[in-house]
Amino acid sequence: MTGLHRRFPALFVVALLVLSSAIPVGAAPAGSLLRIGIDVDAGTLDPRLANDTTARRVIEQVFDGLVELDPELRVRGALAESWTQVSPTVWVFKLRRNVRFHDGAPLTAGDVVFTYTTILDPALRAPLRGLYTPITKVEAVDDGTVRFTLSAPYAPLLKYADMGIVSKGAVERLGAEFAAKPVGTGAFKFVSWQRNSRITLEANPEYWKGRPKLGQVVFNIIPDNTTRAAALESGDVDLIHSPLSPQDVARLKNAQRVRVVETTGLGITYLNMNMVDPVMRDVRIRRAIAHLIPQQTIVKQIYREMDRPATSVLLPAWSGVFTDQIAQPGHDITKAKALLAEAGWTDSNRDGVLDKGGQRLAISVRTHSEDPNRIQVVELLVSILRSSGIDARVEITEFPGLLQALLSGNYQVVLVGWLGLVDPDRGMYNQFHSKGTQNWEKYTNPRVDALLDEGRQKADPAERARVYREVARIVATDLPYFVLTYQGYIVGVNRRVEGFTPIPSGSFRSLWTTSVP
Amino acid sequence: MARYAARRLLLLVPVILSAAVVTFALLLLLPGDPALALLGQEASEVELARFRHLLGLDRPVLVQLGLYLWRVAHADFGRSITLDTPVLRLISSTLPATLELATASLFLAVLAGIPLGLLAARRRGTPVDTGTMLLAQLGVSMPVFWLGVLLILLFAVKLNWLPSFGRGEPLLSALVTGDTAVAADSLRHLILPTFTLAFFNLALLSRLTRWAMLEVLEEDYVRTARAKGQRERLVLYRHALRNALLPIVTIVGLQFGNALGGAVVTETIYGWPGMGRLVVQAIGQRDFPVVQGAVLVLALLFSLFNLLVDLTYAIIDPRIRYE
Repeated sequence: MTGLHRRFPALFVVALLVLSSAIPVGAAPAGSLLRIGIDVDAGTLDPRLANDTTARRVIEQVFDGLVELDPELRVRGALAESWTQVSPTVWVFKLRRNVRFHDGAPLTAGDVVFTYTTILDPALRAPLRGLYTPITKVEAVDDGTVRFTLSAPYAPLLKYADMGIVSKGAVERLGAEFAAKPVGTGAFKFVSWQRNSRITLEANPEYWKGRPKLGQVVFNIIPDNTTRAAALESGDVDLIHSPLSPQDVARLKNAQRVRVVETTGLGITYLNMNMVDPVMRDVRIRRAIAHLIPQQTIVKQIYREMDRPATSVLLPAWSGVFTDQIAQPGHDITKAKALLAEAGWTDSNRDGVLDKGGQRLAISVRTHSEDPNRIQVVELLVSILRSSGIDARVEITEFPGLLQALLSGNYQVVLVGWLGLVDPDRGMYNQFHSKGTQNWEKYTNPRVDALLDEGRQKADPAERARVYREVARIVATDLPYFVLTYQGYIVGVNRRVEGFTPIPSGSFRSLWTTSVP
Repeated sequence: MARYAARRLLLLVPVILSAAVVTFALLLLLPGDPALALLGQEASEVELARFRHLLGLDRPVLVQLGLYLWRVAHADFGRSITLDTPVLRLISSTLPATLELATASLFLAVLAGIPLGLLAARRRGTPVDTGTMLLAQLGVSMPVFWLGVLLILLFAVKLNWLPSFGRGEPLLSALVTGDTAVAADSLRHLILPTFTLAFFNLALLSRLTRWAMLEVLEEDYVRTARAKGQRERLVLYRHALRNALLPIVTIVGLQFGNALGGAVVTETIYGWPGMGRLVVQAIGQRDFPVVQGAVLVLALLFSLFNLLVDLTYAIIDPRIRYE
């Protein structure tokens, strides 16, 4: 009895070690299997309802849109072989022939009509419905032709036509189950989904572009950034990508079996400044804050240059539109102090805090608790504001709490971000138009409204560039946003993986040509 | 004893209902709106209002609470807002993973923590005692996420002995079917998370055992036992340990709750597909039905386990009788 008591823990450990050494480590995958490590589980696999990054990445493999975006974000045909703009408000798409869904049913115009009419139906609660509301009618001209009629000219439509086309028959057959058993036309077929653990896909041998080189793709859900990086380093997964912690990226760069690719993504991190707040409505205050932000230091010290310092609300990925000739107010403490004094804020009672008419200059800077880098930025910023005589304080809540504050207008300054800005319209219209759905800061500028409306109607690239550059210039002066960084998009991939091309939008389209020898 | 157990089981009903009310109230206090969390930043005010109405979030709070309790009383936990799946199905698909991890870690904590404490008590003042207690000190003070990351970097990245994340097949079913390769793979996946989750409890138990043993060893009956010439082993295990066990068993009961709750962090570090992660995600997305259902199930499990602990008192100490 006593002997067993003393020996048991040792026995237990020995048994575990024996068992563990009996198994080949990281059992090599049979055939061509690609194991991806991803940060969150998908909420749904129905493209019409997808609202998270994982869902979109899996859906891209299982579904095709009418069009797809290439690495330079240019539109190219996918299920649509060709399209014509019959009039400013009528588009006609010709479908590719002989494309079949994974359940064997042929793709017809009816499936396209079904996909878009259900998205436009508020009852479906499609999160991206707002992008398609200019569409008034979708109809099948014949089995291989679809006609879209718009309420007004809407240039960005083509870029948003990459929405995955669902099989009408499968949706009607499966009902709500379709979200967990998706049926599309894509390069990979859905196999299984273990919640919070993994999503497994297999090659679609009948894919219209040709059979993919990989036999299987497994998306492993690993929420912790450091664990995900360690899994790549140890060879437990073959591919991981942003979000990643700067320290882990630095370590991965030194890992032998790993290749790290850094690109500028389609996201920004920015300060949203409430234009109707009694303090923040004064442009001199907003400009003073902008002058106090040590942008370069933040990028170097906190983001370790994983993200790049932003110059304006224009993204470098918007080729033809982007220019670095537009600048926001730069780091200049003297100018900031002068602006504060000009706005009437002085330390009249010598308590170290600026005041005006008996009121102290108090500013709260908020962000969300999920992103440690953003918390660091806000803490740094607040300490700088304090040393400039502003009674600043940090407020950290979870994302839903922050979002509610933004929507209700109950905030002064918020550090937050946008992702997936594939087009200037997507990055500016709803944010800065006085009728925009995400104009939480309540910014109104008739000139900006007119320009943004004009941009939607212009198809000519030079015209669009002119319009959006002018909006960016006005925004850099009025400062409803101070854009802090262009978010980096980083991919770490095992060196034995071939043919994977990272795309700044975070798209995994190139999995179709990827192979693992 | 059976009557006592039955009475305790009946008492669970008010306990669970109170847990339901408290969870409901706490979620009301959280900033953030489920409609917004689901429909996202792109949603318009009209859509949000319609969705809130659909969820019944626009009704008076007391009406919401009443309806909720009514459904709970009928074992209807509702559907997840974000995943559009019955809450019970979500819980039943994630609870086994959490139970596996929590049970394994509690086993490890008990099987290693108590003997270590005994050892330290027997060799009081020697380097063995100091070493064990230093380890225990480390265990109670080391943050779980840090320990987890260190173990992954050492055993998965550096030594490449164990997988860095995830769960194999359910261990129990692998053992039942007798497939040793599958069972070994499950064990390999289980080792790091189990140790990470167990370390704190293990450390606490070893310190507690050492303290309880040292207390008991001072008692008169131990001196008597020794005086009548009984062998030291018998003195230690029959006389001392049995009496020292009472506080230890109480703590083990509470530690089960610790293991279930602590599983949240461990599950996140190791990508373990358990209920802890389900709850954290649900809180982040303001998916109230999932949070409420999960808290109720956890409260029920915790209460049942502690009932079990109370019943074991009678076995350990013959003086304790439940009538």
